[in-house]
Amino acid sequence: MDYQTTTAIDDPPVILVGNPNVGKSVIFGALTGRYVAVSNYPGTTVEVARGAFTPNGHSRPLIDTPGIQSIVPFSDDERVTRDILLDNQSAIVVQVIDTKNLRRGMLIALELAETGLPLAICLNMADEAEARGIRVDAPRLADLLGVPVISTVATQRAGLSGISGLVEEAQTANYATVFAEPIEEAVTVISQLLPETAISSRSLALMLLAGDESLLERLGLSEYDESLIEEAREGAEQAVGQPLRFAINRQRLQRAEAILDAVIARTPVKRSVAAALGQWAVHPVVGWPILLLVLYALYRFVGVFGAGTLVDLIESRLFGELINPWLTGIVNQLTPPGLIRDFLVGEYGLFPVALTYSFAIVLPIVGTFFLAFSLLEDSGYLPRLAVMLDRAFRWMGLNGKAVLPMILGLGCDTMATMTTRILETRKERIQVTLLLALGVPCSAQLGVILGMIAGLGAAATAIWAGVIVGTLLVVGYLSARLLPGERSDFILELPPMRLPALGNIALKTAARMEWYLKEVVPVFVVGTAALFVLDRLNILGLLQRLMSPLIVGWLGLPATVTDAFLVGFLRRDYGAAGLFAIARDGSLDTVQIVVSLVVITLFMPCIANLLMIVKEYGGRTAIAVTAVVFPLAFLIGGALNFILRAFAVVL
Amino acid sequence: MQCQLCGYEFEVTSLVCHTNCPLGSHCNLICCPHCGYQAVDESRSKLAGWIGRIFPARARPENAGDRARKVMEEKLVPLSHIPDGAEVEVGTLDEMPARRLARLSVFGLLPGSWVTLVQRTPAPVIRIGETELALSTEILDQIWVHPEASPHAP
Repeated sequence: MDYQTTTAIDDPPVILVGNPNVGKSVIFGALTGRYVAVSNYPGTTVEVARGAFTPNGHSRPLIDTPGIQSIVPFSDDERVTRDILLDNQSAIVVQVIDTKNLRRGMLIALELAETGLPLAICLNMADEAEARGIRVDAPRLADLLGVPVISTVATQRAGLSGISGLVEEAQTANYATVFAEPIEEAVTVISQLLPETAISSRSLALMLLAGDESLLERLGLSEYDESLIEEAREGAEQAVGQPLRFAINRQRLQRAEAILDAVIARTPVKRSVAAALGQWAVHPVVGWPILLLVLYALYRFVGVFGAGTLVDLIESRLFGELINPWLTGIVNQLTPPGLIRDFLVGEYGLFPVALTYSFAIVLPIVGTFFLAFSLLEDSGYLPRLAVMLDRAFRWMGLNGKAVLPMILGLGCDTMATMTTRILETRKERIQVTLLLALGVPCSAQLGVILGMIAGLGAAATAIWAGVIVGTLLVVGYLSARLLPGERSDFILELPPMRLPALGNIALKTAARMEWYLKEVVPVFVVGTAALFVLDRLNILGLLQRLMSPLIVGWLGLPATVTDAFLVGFLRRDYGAAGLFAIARDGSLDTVQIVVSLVVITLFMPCIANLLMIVKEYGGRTAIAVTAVVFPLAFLIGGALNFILRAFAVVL
Repeated sequence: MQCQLCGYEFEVTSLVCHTNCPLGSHCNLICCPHCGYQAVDESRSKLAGWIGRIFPARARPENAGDRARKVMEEKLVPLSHIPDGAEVEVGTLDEMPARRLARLSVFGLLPGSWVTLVQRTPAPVIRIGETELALSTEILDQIWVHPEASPHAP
């Protein structure tokens, strides 16, 4: 990980720690001036952001960590946070707490107090707490814990200037939790066996007692010492008569309650509009129209406005009438007729194909999608969508948590494959990765598909959608049962509904579009170049002939469609766009369009997605996914063709 | 094992094959020595194992007696039996696997804490303090609570 500024790397860093969704990233962004994705969905800040901030003229490294529920990790994300605390000698910890959820913040604060690290507390979202009639006495809390405490509203930048002072005054907490006798005895035994680390051995011993096996691996103790620790653990658990982690949390929570009683004052208030909306969004009856409304709005904005109006405007007007003729003119003047000119402006030329596709077709669709997605994300609606769709996902052996990567897949499957990390078990991650690669069309592709299918009427649309959704359900159902491993518990926090801050939305959309363009344009260029070479060497013709039994005989499509499918290997949306061109010429009948759309939708999304699967899960998994996706795409396409022809379906 | 047809109980390991059985050493069937009914040995047949996973048998609750005792003696009920919107005190969570228990405890769900069942469909949602959690029905059923209404309920 690299530092963005010239901060000396060995300067002790300031580490931001806290529950998910308490505003760590907003505070980080405000202090460093560097933007990080901020969202309402628990667990989206997967990657660790580093920057520098300058309290009182001296620049210090600042680290933003993934949200945690406890410093004893449950997930890979949380492990990262624990490791950051272990790895940074003499770091200062600033804990960010959601003021209205002080109880949960206190659980972490008590754990951090045990580490012996200098600590300071930032009570964020003071405005939301106020709106709910909750007031926290910050000076009293500071007195009790022995660490500095301030109140902030990070989204409005209120109180943030106090953080510099907070860092200066940070100190080791003087508030310890005393546990039941058997636990304390085990802590004493284990502490003596532990090596020196950045955090106290009492804290480490408690983590080990809570059953943190990844920590045990990290410490690299001798087998004998490990057996002693295990012995102490088992002895304590037997004496306590409860799972140790539970017993430890229980005692911490009692401690937290005592603090809460001393510092919180409540006044009854009326329920806010946002709270009511949050309730309706998961209501068994009202929730459905809301869901349909959201999806319809998404479709209108991305499908109709982005993929229709904007693409029309940019592709046919800007590129078709202005940019492309102008570029062609320049190229024709500068280059002699031949290879170079064809490469730049010919049938598979760089300008008319690669650049037009990436900027005129993909960019408007992806841009509108990311904007809509950021709005949904920051409003807090996404986890509620997970609640509404939990049952359908349950049938596929997943749970509502898988909604986020699947919806994100509608934007970009490659990015969505990366976010499968938020799922807890490897089985679930691979399942979702497979489903994404198989049947979730990305926004670029969806735009082209919707454009093609819109002219065919409701029956064709229903057949296409039905086949895709049916395939996803059946493959999900089967993979849930056939893949080894287990499913995780469905426990998902519903953050309050909030009015998204427009600044955040704009920045986040821009950051995502930048990321997408950096990734998409090179792939388009390489894809076009590959096509050009294939065309020049006449390999395209050869492949067309080789694949024609499959395409013509099995799928019942004209041989020219092979082009689109070949390109589909490189990029699924690119293939769809090729199909679009063929269909516009009138060389496909309705059944052929539906069949080819089904095949291209079920195709592997693109090279980038395949590479992402290799990166996240290794080559073997990538090969396995490919071996399922491609044959299945042709199998289902052929079967559909056969059925539609056999029953002479007229669309 | 117990024969699925006649109910005869026998030890699989002590079975001897019929001398005239046409199936060779790759046989993965178990014949009941009493009635001759053939059951598939899923540990030996990979294919049968796969099919068995696609159509799983329904599991029977193993702790029915323990649950009945909680209702009769400790006067507890599962949170799934409490009307929506009532705030109740958690009695015990002793049926939960340790990992689930630990995950819920960091949200403040512990014996003695007060919890409200906000709704049960499409997925159950509970509220602990200012935290709202969506859970599966299965978890809801393992949260045993005192059914009397809360002192601070309206």
